[in-house]
Amino acid sequence: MSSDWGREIRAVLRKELRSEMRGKSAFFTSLLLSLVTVFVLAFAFYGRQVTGEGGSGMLWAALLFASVSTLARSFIQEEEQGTGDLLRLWARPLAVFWGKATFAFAQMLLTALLCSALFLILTGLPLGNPVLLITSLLGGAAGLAATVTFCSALIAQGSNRGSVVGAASLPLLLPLVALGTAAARGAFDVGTGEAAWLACGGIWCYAALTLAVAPHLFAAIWKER
Amino acid sequence: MIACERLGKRYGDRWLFRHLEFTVQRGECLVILGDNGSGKSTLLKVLAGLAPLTEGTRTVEGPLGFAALDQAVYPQLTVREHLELAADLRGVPQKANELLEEVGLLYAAEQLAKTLSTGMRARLKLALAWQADPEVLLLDEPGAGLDEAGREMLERCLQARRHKLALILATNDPNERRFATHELRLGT
Repeated sequence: MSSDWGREIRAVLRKELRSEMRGKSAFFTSLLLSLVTVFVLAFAFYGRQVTGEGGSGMLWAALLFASVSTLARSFIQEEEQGTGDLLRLWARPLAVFWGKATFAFAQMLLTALLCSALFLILTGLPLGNPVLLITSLLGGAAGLAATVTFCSALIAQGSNRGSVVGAASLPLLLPLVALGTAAARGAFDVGTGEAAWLACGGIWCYAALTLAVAPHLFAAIWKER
Repeated sequence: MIACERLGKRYGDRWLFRHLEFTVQRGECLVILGDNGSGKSTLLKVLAGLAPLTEGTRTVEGPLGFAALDQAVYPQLTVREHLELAADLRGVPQKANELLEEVGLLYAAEQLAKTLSTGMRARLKLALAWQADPEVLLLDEPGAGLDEAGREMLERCLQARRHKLALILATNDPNERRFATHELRLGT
Protein backbone atom coordinates (compact mmCIF):
# COMPACT_ATOMS: atom_id res chain seq x y z
CA MET A 1 0.00 0.00 0.00
CA SER A 2 1.51 3.35 -1.00
CA SER A 3 2.04 6.10 1.55
CA ASP A 4 -0.73 8.11 -0.15
CA TRP A 5 -3.29 5.38 0.44
CA GLY A 6 -2.00 4.86 3.97
CA ARG A 7 -2.29 8.57 4.75
CA GLU A 8 -5.82 8.80 3.34
CA ILE A 9 -7.08 5.70 5.16
CA ARG A 10 -5.50 6.89 8.42
CA ALA A 11 -7.19 10.29 7.94
CA VAL A 12 -10.65 8.69 7.57
CA LEU A 13 -9.95 6.38 10.53
CA ARG A 14 -8.80 9.32 12.67
CA LYS A 15 -11.96 11.24 11.79
CA GLU A 16 -14.12 8.27 12.79
CA LEU A 17 -12.23 7.83 16.06
CA ARG A 18 -12.45 11.52 16.96
CA SER A 19 -16.15 11.68 16.16
CA GLU A 20 -16.79 8.52 18.17
CA MET A 21 -14.68 9.63 21.15
CA ARG A 22 -16.58 12.92 21.30
CA GLY A 23 -20.03 11.64 20.36
CA LYS A 24 -19.74 8.29 22.16
CA SER A 25 -22.74 6.95 20.31
CA ALA A 26 -21.99 3.99 18.05
CA PHE A 27 -19.63 1.96 20.25
CA PHE A 28 -21.69 2.35 23.41
CA THR A 29 -24.90 1.50 21.56
CA SER A 30 -23.23 -1.56 20.08
CA LEU A 31 -21.81 -2.64 23.43
CA LEU A 32 -25.05 -1.97 25.27
CA LEU A 33 -27.15 -3.94 22.79
CA SER A 34 -24.89 -6.97 22.87
CA LEU A 35 -24.56 -6.89 26.67
CA VAL A 36 -28.32 -6.56 27.17
CA THR A 37 -28.86 -9.54 24.86
CA VAL A 38 -26.34 -11.59 26.85
CA PHE A 39 -27.92 -10.54 30.18
CA VAL A 40 -31.42 -11.43 29.02
CA LEU A 41 -30.29 -14.83 27.76
CA ALA A 42 -28.33 -15.47 30.95
CA PHE A 43 -31.40 -14.66 33.07
CA ALA A 44 -33.56 -16.87 30.88
CA PHE A 45 -31.28 -19.79 31.71
CA TYR A 46 -30.87 -18.83 35.37
CA GLY A 47 -30.41 -21.92 37.55
CA ARG A 48 -29.92 -24.19 34.54
CA GLN A 49 -26.71 -25.06 32.78
CA VAL A 50 -26.44 -23.50 29.34
CA THR A 51 -25.32 -26.09 26.83
CA GLY A 52 -22.51 -25.50 24.35
CA GLU A 53 -24.97 -25.80 21.45
CA GLY A 54 -27.32 -23.15 22.86
CA GLY A 55 -24.49 -20.92 24.11
CA SER A 56 -22.78 -20.73 20.74
CA GLY A 57 -26.00 -19.60 19.08
CA MET A 58 -26.73 -17.04 21.80
CA LEU A 59 -23.27 -15.51 21.55
CA TRP A 60 -23.45 -15.02 17.79
CA ALA A 61 -27.03 -13.76 17.94
CA ALA A 62 -25.86 -11.04 20.35
CA LEU A 63 -22.97 -10.11 18.04
CA LEU A 64 -25.25 -10.03 15.01
CA PHE A 65 -27.70 -7.64 16.68
CA ALA A 66 -24.89 -5.37 17.80
CA SER A 67 -23.27 -5.20 14.38
CA VAL A 68 -26.38 -4.68 12.28
CA SER A 69 -27.92 -2.05 14.50
CA THR A 70 -24.85 0.09 15.03
CA LEU A 71 -22.22 -0.43 12.36
CA ALA A 72 -24.85 0.40 9.77
CA ARG A 73 -24.93 3.94 11.15
CA SER A 74 -21.59 4.70 9.52
CA PHE A 75 -22.68 5.98 6.11
CA ILE A 76 -26.29 6.64 7.02
CA GLN A 77 -25.14 9.20 9.56
CA GLU A 78 -22.86 10.82 6.95
CA GLU A 79 -25.82 11.25 4.59
CA GLU A 80 -28.26 12.34 7.28
CA GLN A 81 -25.98 15.04 8.63
CA GLY A 82 -25.01 16.00 5.06
CA THR A 83 -21.27 15.38 5.38
CA GLY A 84 -21.08 12.60 2.80
CA ASP A 85 -20.41 15.22 0.12
CA LEU A 86 -17.26 16.35 1.94
CA LEU A 87 -15.82 12.86 1.61
CA ARG A 88 -16.93 12.71 -2.04
CA LEU A 89 -15.13 15.97 -2.73
CA TRP A 90 -11.94 15.18 -0.85
CA ALA A 91 -11.35 11.44 -0.82
CA ARG A 92 -10.95 8.48 -3.12
CA PRO A 93 -13.73 5.90 -2.63
CA LEU A 94 -11.39 3.08 -1.63
CA ALA A 95 -9.78 5.23 1.07
CA VAL A 96 -13.23 6.00 2.45
CA PHE A 97 -14.20 2.32 2.47
CA TRP A 98 -11.01 1.07 4.11
CA GLY A 99 -10.99 3.85 6.69
CA LYS A 100 -14.60 3.18 7.66
CA ALA A 101 -14.23 -0.61 7.56
CA THR A 102 -11.08 -0.52 9.73
CA PHE A 103 -12.91 1.52 12.33
CA ALA A 104 -15.89 -0.85 12.17
CA PHE A 105 -13.55 -3.84 12.59
CA ALA A 106 -11.92 -2.37 15.70
CA GLN A 107 -15.31 -1.50 17.15
CA MET A 108 -16.77 -4.92 16.37
CA LEU A 109 -13.76 -6.82 17.72
CA LEU A 110 -13.79 -4.91 21.00
CA THR A 111 -17.53 -5.48 21.36
CA ALA A 112 -17.14 -9.19 20.54
CA LEU A 113 -14.36 -9.71 23.08
CA LEU A 114 -16.18 -7.86 25.88
CA CYS A 115 -19.45 -9.55 25.05
CA SER A 116 -17.86 -13.02 24.98
CA ALA A 117 -16.09 -12.45 28.28
CA LEU A 118 -19.32 -11.39 29.97
CA PHE A 119 -21.19 -14.26 28.33
CA LEU A 120 -18.73 -16.81 29.73
CA ILE A 121 -18.85 -15.26 33.20
CA LEU A 122 -22.65 -15.12 33.37
CA THR A 123 -23.37 -18.54 31.91
CA GLY A 124 -20.43 -20.38 33.47
CA LEU A 125 -19.98 -22.21 30.19
CA PRO A 126 -16.58 -23.97 30.11
CA LEU A 127 -14.31 -22.64 27.37
CA GLY A 128 -12.38 -25.65 26.10
CA ASN A 129 -10.57 -23.95 23.24
CA PRO A 130 -9.97 -20.20 23.72
CA VAL A 131 -7.68 -19.98 20.68
CA LEU A 132 -10.47 -21.25 18.44
CA LEU A 133 -12.96 -18.78 19.90
CA ILE A 134 -10.60 -15.79 19.52
CA THR A 135 -9.56 -16.80 16.00
CA SER A 136 -13.19 -17.13 14.93
CA LEU A 137 -14.13 -13.82 16.57
CA LEU A 138 -11.24 -12.07 14.75
CA GLY A 139 -12.34 -13.41 11.37
CA GLY A 140 -16.00 -12.82 12.25
CA ALA A 141 -15.36 -9.18 13.18
CA ALA A 142 -13.58 -8.64 9.84
CA GLY A 143 -16.45 -10.24 7.89
CA LEU A 144 -19.11 -8.34 9.83
CA ALA A 145 -17.25 -5.04 9.39
CA ALA A 146 -16.81 -5.42 5.62
CA THR A 147 -20.36 -6.60 4.97
CA VAL A 148 -22.12 -4.08 7.16
CA THR A 149 -19.93 -1.17 5.96
CA PHE A 150 -20.85 -1.98 2.37
CA CYS A 151 -24.55 -2.46 3.18
CA SER A 152 -24.56 0.82 5.09
CA ALA A 153 -23.14 2.65 2.06
CA LEU A 154 -25.63 0.98 -0.24
CA ILE A 155 -28.62 1.83 1.93
CA ALA A 156 -27.43 5.38 2.63
CA GLN A 157 -27.92 6.19 -1.07
CA GLY A 158 -31.66 5.66 -0.85
CA SER A 159 -34.55 6.93 1.19
CA ASN A 160 -36.19 5.10 4.12
CA ARG A 161 -32.71 4.15 5.25
CA GLY A 162 -32.94 2.88 8.78
CA SER A 163 -35.67 0.35 8.18
CA VAL A 164 -33.91 -1.55 5.43
CA VAL A 165 -30.49 -1.96 7.05
CA GLY A 166 -31.38 -5.25 8.65
CA ALA A 167 -33.25 -6.52 5.62
CA ALA A 168 -30.29 -5.86 3.33
CA SER A 169 -27.49 -7.07 5.55
CA LEU A 170 -29.03 -10.06 7.34
CA PRO A 171 -29.13 -12.41 4.32
CA LEU A 172 -25.47 -11.63 3.65
CA LEU A 173 -24.52 -12.17 7.29
CA LEU A 174 -26.41 -15.44 7.88
CA PRO A 175 -23.66 -17.68 6.45
CA LEU A 176 -21.13 -15.93 8.67
CA VAL A 177 -23.31 -16.40 11.75
CA ALA A 178 -23.82 -20.07 10.91
CA LEU A 179 -20.07 -20.59 10.58
CA GLY A 180 -19.44 -18.57 13.76
CA THR A 181 -21.90 -20.70 15.68
CA ALA A 182 -20.25 -23.89 14.43
CA ALA A 183 -16.81 -22.63 15.44
CA ALA A 184 -18.08 -21.50 18.86
CA ARG A 185 -19.55 -24.98 19.46
CA GLY A 186 -16.06 -26.36 19.05
CA ALA A 187 -14.67 -23.75 21.41
CA PHE A 188 -17.27 -24.87 23.99
CA ASP A 189 -16.17 -28.50 23.53
CA VAL A 190 -19.17 -29.63 21.50
CA GLY A 191 -18.59 -31.78 18.42
CA THR A 192 -15.22 -32.47 16.84
CA GLY A 193 -12.37 -29.99 16.88
CA GLU A 194 -11.74 -30.68 13.23
CA ALA A 195 -15.23 -29.55 12.21
CA ALA A 196 -14.91 -26.43 14.36
CA TRP A 197 -11.58 -25.45 12.80
CA LEU A 198 -13.09 -26.05 9.39
CA ALA A 199 -15.89 -23.61 10.29
CA CYS A 200 -13.27 -21.15 11.53
CA GLY A 201 -11.52 -21.46 8.17
CA GLY A 202 -14.87 -20.75 6.53
CA ILE A 203 -15.18 -17.56 8.58
CA TRP A 204 -11.79 -16.37 7.36
CA CYS A 205 -12.69 -17.27 3.77
CA TYR A 206 -15.91 -15.27 4.14
CA ALA A 207 -13.94 -12.33 5.56
CA ALA A 208 -11.36 -12.52 2.75
CA LEU A 209 -14.06 -12.69 0.10
CA THR A 210 -16.04 -9.75 1.45
CA LEU A 211 -12.89 -7.68 1.95
CA ALA A 212 -11.88 -8.41 -1.65
CA VAL A 213 -15.25 -7.66 -3.24
CA ALA A 214 -16.94 -5.04 -1.05
CA PRO A 215 -14.44 -2.18 -1.66
CA HIS A 216 -14.92 -2.39 -5.43
CA LEU A 217 -18.71 -2.57 -5.21
CA PHE A 218 -18.55 0.34 -2.79
CA ALA A 219 -16.45 2.41 -5.22
CA ALA A 220 -19.10 1.91 -7.90
CA ILE A 221 -22.08 2.96 -5.78
CA TRP A 222 -20.19 5.81 -4.07
CA LYS A 223 -19.35 7.42 -7.42
CA GLU A 224 -22.76 6.89 -8.94
CA ARG A 225 -24.74 8.82 -6.37
CA MET B 1 -11.37 25.42 -17.15
CA ILE B 2 -14.85 23.98 -16.74
CA ALA B 3 -17.16 23.18 -19.62
CA CYS B 4 -20.48 21.50 -20.10
CA GLU B 5 -22.37 20.30 -23.14
CA ARG B 6 -26.10 19.73 -23.39
CA LEU B 7 -26.32 19.46 -19.63
CA GLY B 8 -29.70 18.44 -18.27
CA LYS B 9 -31.17 17.49 -14.91
CA ARG B 10 -34.62 16.07 -14.42
CA TYR B 11 -36.58 15.29 -11.26
CA GLY B 12 -39.47 13.00 -12.15
CA ASP B 13 -41.20 14.54 -15.17
CA ARG B 14 -39.85 18.03 -14.57
CA TRP B 15 -36.66 19.27 -16.22
CA LEU B 16 -34.90 21.58 -13.79
CA PHE B 17 -32.60 22.69 -16.61
CA ARG B 18 -31.82 21.29 -20.02
CA HIS B 19 -29.48 21.85 -23.01
CA LEU B 20 -27.08 23.99 -20.97
CA GLU B 21 -23.82 24.69 -22.75
CA PHE B 22 -21.01 26.91 -21.49
CA THR B 23 -17.28 27.07 -20.94
CA VAL B 24 -15.63 29.09 -18.20
CA GLN B 25 -11.93 29.74 -18.70
CA ARG B 26 -9.34 30.85 -16.18
CA GLY B 27 -9.92 34.50 -15.26
CA GLU B 28 -13.61 34.33 -16.14
CA CYS B 29 -16.57 34.32 -13.79
CA LEU B 30 -19.97 32.92 -14.63
CA VAL B 31 -22.72 34.11 -12.31
CA ILE B 32 -25.80 31.89 -12.20
CA LEU B 33 -28.98 33.76 -11.37
CA GLY B 34 -32.50 32.58 -10.76
CA ASP B 35 -35.37 32.50 -8.34
CA ASN B 36 -35.55 30.10 -5.42
CA GLY B 37 -36.03 26.57 -6.72
CA SER B 38 -34.77 27.40 -10.19
CA GLY B 39 -31.90 24.89 -9.90
CA LYS B 40 -28.87 27.09 -9.13
CA SER B 41 -27.62 24.93 -6.27
CA THR B 42 -28.40 21.71 -8.12
CA LEU B 43 -26.45 22.91 -11.16
CA LEU B 44 -23.43 23.61 -8.98
CA LYS B 45 -23.71 20.18 -7.37
CA VAL B 46 -23.93 18.57 -10.78
CA LEU B 47 -20.84 20.50 -11.90
CA ALA B 48 -19.00 19.45 -8.73
CA GLY B 49 -19.89 15.80 -9.37
CA LEU B 50 -22.03 15.60 -6.23
CA ALA B 51 -25.30 14.99 -8.08
CA PRO B 52 -25.80 12.80 -11.15
CA LEU B 53 -26.51 14.23 -14.58
CA THR B 54 -29.65 13.23 -16.42
CA GLU B 55 -28.04 14.03 -19.76
CA GLY B 56 -25.02 15.80 -21.22
CA THR B 57 -21.37 15.94 -20.19
CA ARG B 58 -19.18 18.10 -17.99
CA THR B 59 -15.42 18.58 -18.13
CA VAL B 60 -13.32 19.97 -15.30
CA GLU B 61 -9.62 20.67 -15.79
CA GLY B 62 -7.54 21.27 -12.68
CA PRO B 63 -8.27 21.04 -8.96
CA LEU B 64 -11.83 21.88 -7.97
CA GLY B 65 -12.98 23.88 -4.96
CA PHE B 66 -16.59 23.89 -3.82
CA ALA B 67 -18.48 25.68 -1.07
CA ALA B 68 -22.25 25.79 -0.66
CA LEU B 69 -24.65 27.37 1.75
CA ASP B 70 -26.26 24.04 2.60
CA GLN B 71 -22.98 22.12 2.84
CA ALA B 72 -22.66 20.50 6.27
CA VAL B 73 -19.46 20.13 8.29
CA TYR B 74 -18.56 17.50 10.88
CA PRO B 75 -20.10 18.61 14.17
CA GLN B 76 -17.62 16.64 16.28
CA LEU B 77 -14.45 17.92 14.58
CA THR B 78 -12.71 21.21 15.31
CA VAL B 79 -12.10 23.85 12.66
CA ARG B 80 -8.41 22.88 12.46
CA GLU B 81 -9.22 19.17 12.25
CA HIS B 82 -11.44 19.82 9.21
CA LEU B 83 -8.52 21.42 7.40
CA GLU B 84 -6.13 18.66 8.47
CA LEU B 85 -8.56 15.96 7.31
CA ALA B 86 -9.13 17.62 3.96
CA ALA B 87 -5.38 18.17 3.42
CA ASP B 88 -4.59 14.52 4.20
CA LEU B 89 -7.32 13.27 1.88
CA ARG B 90 -6.48 15.67 -0.94
CA GLY B 91 -2.74 15.15 -0.58
CA VAL B 92 -2.01 18.88 -0.31
CA PRO B 93 0.31 20.59 2.22
CA GLN B 94 -1.05 21.40 5.66
CA LYS B 95 -1.48 25.16 5.87
CA ALA B 96 -4.35 25.48 8.32
CA ASN B 97 -3.09 28.59 10.11
CA GLU B 98 -2.51 30.47 6.88
CA LEU B 99 -5.99 29.64 5.54
CA LEU B 100 -7.74 30.38 8.82
CA GLU B 101 -5.90 33.69 9.11
CA GLU B 102 -7.08 34.58 5.61
CA VAL B 103 -10.75 33.88 6.36
CA GLY B 104 -10.54 35.42 9.83
CA LEU B 105 -11.16 32.21 11.75
CA LEU B 106 -7.79 31.52 13.37
CA TYR B 107 -9.12 32.52 16.79
CA ALA B 108 -11.67 29.67 16.59
CA ALA B 109 -9.28 27.01 15.27
CA GLU B 110 -9.77 24.66 18.22
CA GLN B 111 -13.55 25.13 18.40
CA LEU B 112 -15.84 22.21 17.53
CA ALA B 113 -17.82 22.84 14.34
CA LYS B 114 -21.13 22.25 16.14
CA THR B 115 -20.47 25.37 18.21
CA LEU B 116 -19.82 27.65 15.21
CA SER B 117 -22.27 30.30 14.09
CA THR B 118 -23.62 30.30 10.52
CA GLY B 119 -21.10 32.96 9.50
CA MET B 120 -18.19 31.08 11.06
CA ARG B 121 -19.22 27.91 9.25
CA ALA B 122 -19.35 29.87 6.00
CA ARG B 123 -15.77 31.05 6.63
CA LEU B 124 -14.66 27.47 7.37
CA LYS B 125 -16.21 26.26 4.11
CA LEU B 126 -14.40 28.99 2.20
CA ALA B 127 -11.10 27.99 3.84
CA LEU B 128 -11.76 24.39 2.81
CA ALA B 129 -12.49 25.51 -0.76
CA TRP B 130 -9.28 27.60 -0.97
CA GLN B 131 -7.25 24.73 0.45
CA ALA B 132 -7.39 22.73 -2.78
CA ASP B 133 -5.61 25.66 -4.46
CA PRO B 134 -8.38 25.35 -7.03
CA GLU B 135 -8.29 26.25 -10.69
CA VAL B 136 -12.06 25.79 -10.83
CA LEU B 137 -14.09 27.24 -7.99
CA LEU B 138 -17.83 26.72 -7.50
CA LEU B 139 -19.49 28.88 -4.85
CA ASP B 140 -23.16 28.67 -3.94
CA GLU B 141 -24.40 31.81 -2.16
CA PRO B 142 -20.95 32.42 -0.66
CA GLY B 143 -21.91 35.65 1.08
CA ALA B 144 -25.00 34.25 2.79
CA GLY B 145 -24.55 34.25 6.54
CA LEU B 146 -21.46 36.45 6.43
CA ASP B 147 -21.34 39.77 8.26
CA GLU B 148 -19.95 42.96 6.71
CA ALA B 149 -16.36 42.03 7.56
CA GLY B 150 -16.95 38.56 6.18
CA ARG B 151 -18.24 39.94 2.88
CA GLU B 152 -15.17 42.16 2.62
CA MET B 153 -12.96 39.15 3.30
CA LEU B 154 -14.78 37.18 0.59
CA GLU B 155 -14.38 39.98 -1.92
CA ARG B 156 -10.69 40.38 -1.04
CA CYS B 157 -10.05 36.65 -1.44
CA LEU B 158 -11.89 36.45 -4.76
CA GLN B 159 -10.13 39.53 -6.12
CA ALA B 160 -6.74 38.08 -5.17
CA ARG B 161 -7.44 34.76 -6.91
CA ARG B 162 -9.76 35.57 -9.79
CA HIS B 163 -7.02 35.80 -12.42
CA LYS B 164 -6.12 32.13 -11.91
CA LEU B 165 -9.63 30.82 -11.38
CA ALA B 166 -12.49 29.65 -13.53
CA LEU B 167 -15.15 30.86 -11.13
CA ILE B 168 -18.85 29.99 -11.05
CA LEU B 169 -21.03 31.79 -8.54
CA ALA B 170 -24.67 30.98 -7.83
CA THR B 171 -26.11 34.08 -6.25
CA ASN B 172 -28.72 36.79 -6.36
CA ASP B 173 -26.56 39.20 -4.35
CA PRO B 174 -25.87 42.37 -6.41
CA ASN B 175 -22.43 42.73 -4.79
CA GLU B 176 -21.37 39.27 -5.91
CA ARG B 177 -22.79 39.85 -9.40
CA ARG B 178 -20.06 42.46 -9.85
CA PHE B 179 -17.55 39.64 -10.43
CA ALA B 180 -19.47 38.36 -13.46
CA THR B 181 -17.86 38.19 -16.86
CA HIS B 182 -20.91 36.18 -18.01
CA GLU B 183 -24.34 35.55 -16.57
CA LEU B 184 -26.72 32.64 -16.85
CA ARG B 185 -30.30 32.89 -15.68
CA LEU B 186 -32.20 29.74 -14.81
CA GLY B 187 -35.97 29.81 -15.04
CA THR B 188 -38.46 28.22 -12.69
